[in-house]
Amino acid sequence: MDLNVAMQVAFSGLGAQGERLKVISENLANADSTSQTPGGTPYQRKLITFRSVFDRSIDATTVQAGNVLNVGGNFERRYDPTNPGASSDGYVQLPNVNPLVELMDMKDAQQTYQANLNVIDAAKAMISHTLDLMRS
Amino acid sequence: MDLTQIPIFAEMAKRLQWLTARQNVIAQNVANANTPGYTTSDLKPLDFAKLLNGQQTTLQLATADPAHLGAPPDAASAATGGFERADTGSPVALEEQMMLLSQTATDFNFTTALYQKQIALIKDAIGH
Repeated sequence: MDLNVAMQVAFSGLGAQGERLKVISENLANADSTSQTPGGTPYQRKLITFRSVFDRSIDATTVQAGNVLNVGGNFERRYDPTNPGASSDGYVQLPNVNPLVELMDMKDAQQTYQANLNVIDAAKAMISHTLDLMRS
Repeated sequence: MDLTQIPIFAEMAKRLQWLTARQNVIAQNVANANTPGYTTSDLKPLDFAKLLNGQQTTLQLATADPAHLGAPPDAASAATGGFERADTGSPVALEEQMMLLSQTATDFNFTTALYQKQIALIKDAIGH
């Protein structure tokens, strides 16, 4: 039992939030990616899942990024006959990415990442205070 | 000289262990802040009156193998150091966890400072 456990758990949190940010950036980058083939489906919003994993080696519950799901449906349609992805009636399907939702998600990921960093900072400070005992 | 024979040192060591175990529990709460279905847990407060009255009040089963029931607490739970863990059943509130985190770190700082003072006192007494 030592503070390294706290650090390892916090590192697992950092990793999971990093994965989350990766998925968010994919969504934002592809916010305008329409289909390459006429009438095809555009980019589908991706959603990351988290699951808690019990790590037997440190006897603590860490977090892991799980499957990345594709959220289909709810595509908006825009009349644009010149677009290569337009179907025969001239409408092109747009990705179901809402930049506002993604930005809010990003803010949340940032906050949780910061919280995990705070845990690491606190654990480090506690270890250094313990080491200070030897200097007295 | 065995410092742990002196009650205040034994207590402070126990307190440091408890604070470390609590920090581990908080780390798990924060890491799982976005995990669906995960609920916050915390350690039961350490009762110093009980600590003073006697270190070990519960009887332990005799075991010959670590796999036996009633094996020593270190095998049962390393991360919580044998301290009792309680599930609050509520989802993780990051602000609350951050508050507990700094509180735990401050308590740890306080206890190590107290430890240093006590050592300095003993050193003064033996004329160093």
